[in-house]
Amino acid sequence: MRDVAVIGIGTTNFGLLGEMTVEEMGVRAFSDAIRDAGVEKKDIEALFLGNFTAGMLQGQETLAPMIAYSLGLRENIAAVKVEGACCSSSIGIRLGYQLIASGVHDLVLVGGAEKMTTASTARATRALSAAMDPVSESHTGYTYPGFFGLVANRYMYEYGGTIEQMGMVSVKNHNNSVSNPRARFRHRITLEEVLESRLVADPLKLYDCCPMADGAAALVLCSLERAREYSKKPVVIAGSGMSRGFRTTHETINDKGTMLSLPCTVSAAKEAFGMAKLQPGDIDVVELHDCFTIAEIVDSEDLGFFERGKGGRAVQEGLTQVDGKTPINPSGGLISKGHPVGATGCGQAYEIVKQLRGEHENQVRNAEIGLTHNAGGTGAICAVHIFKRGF
Amino acid sequence: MSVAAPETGLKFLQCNGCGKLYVPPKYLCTQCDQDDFSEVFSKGAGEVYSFTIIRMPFEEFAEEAPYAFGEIKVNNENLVVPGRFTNEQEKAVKIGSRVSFVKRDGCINWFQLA
Ligand SMILES: [Zn+2]
Repeated sequence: MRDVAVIGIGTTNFGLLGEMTVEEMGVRAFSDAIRDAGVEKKDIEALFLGNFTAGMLQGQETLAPMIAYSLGLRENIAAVKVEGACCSSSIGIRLGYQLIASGVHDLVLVGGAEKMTTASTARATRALSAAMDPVSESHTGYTYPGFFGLVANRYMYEYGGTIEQMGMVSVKNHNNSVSNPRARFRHRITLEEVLESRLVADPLKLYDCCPMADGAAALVLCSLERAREYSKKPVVIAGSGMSRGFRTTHETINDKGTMLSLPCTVSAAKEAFGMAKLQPGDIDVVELHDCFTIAEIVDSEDLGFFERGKGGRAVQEGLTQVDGKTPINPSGGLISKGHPVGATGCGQAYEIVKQLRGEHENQVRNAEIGLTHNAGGTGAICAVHIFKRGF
Repeated sequence: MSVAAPETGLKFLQCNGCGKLYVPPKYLCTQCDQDDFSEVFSKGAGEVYSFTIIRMPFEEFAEEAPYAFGEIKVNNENLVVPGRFTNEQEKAVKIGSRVSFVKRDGCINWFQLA
């Protein structure tokens, strides 16, 4: 197996891009990444595009080959959409990694694009619920905020976690994205504002939830042996973990005896850390899947950064701040940078690569090793990637 | 198993190969690899494992909101199933609240709070 590096990154802003089609967002992010890498388009051998809702919200499919055409890529290319709900574009990172590591290809584009904000919240919420089992979940009135509302109530019941600790995740992530020009939200909020915002799925309030967003993000992946031809600052993919979890909330509880852990996160993290020969304590900067404030807390425990039931306290003690022991979501995360679902995984990788290059607007000092965690469904799928400086 | 009549009971699927009980749907027994199941019906007495109040559902459920949604631990079968509550206006839903199964309507398991 060969080492694989990220040699180019590109993105649109995450937020309200209603005037653009989803294809245009994708084209902009991919072309930005190609320019950043300095590669020739004719040398690109495959393209993976993460997208979840374009078929449902815009009636648009077959986006990957259309984007490949619009970019002017060569005709003999596999241009493939990958879908795993909110985890979609991380699947592309994984597949691109494997194609290069195995020696099949040298240069692969991976990215994601999503257009959500021109749909009503009710319609977009319904589209997102396509990642649930209809028979036992989505046709019963269950929603994603509902899922994390259940987790939050149980977390408080079992561990004595507090709604204030959850609110502090939102305060931190909003604070982090003030300096991030790619973020949907650029304003600070107070804990009182979080706690006084309207209830969405008790005990979770509006500011406990990530916003819908439009946006696209892309990476150019290259074998490390050729990466130095193009980049002075290649970032190596040191570990790649992917997993399937459970298809429903109740099946998770029935098989694992708890809903205070996403088994898919635990298994993807185990694979990624094993491949990278690293421990949670070695990670300098983390971008994880904070679709809801309680998710950031549970994820931080599942990834091994904190003991079970201690993730809430860690937030309270400032350990996850940008200058803390384990900086989590210095970009603003899904909660404040925004969550254009199929683009989120590559957006996280974009932020981590900028951190490891030392070029981030909210820079973690001396960041050399970073981790992304991206999950989809009610814990049906997860990808964890570990990145380290290749320079 | 606390057996109930099919018209009034909470439906589970029991593998005809190894006897393992599942919450439907289940297409293949992952314990013994059989695809042959029998429908069995329980009285569905249990308690609330966790709950939330859904205030922003998608379109089809908008008129019902806000409504409680729970994961219910069914005691005899020792399995958790998703459910909603017929009398949440009169009784507060809490973790540990005791419930009994009332009916299945479409895909929804309705429980009554004791
Ligand atoms: Zn069986």
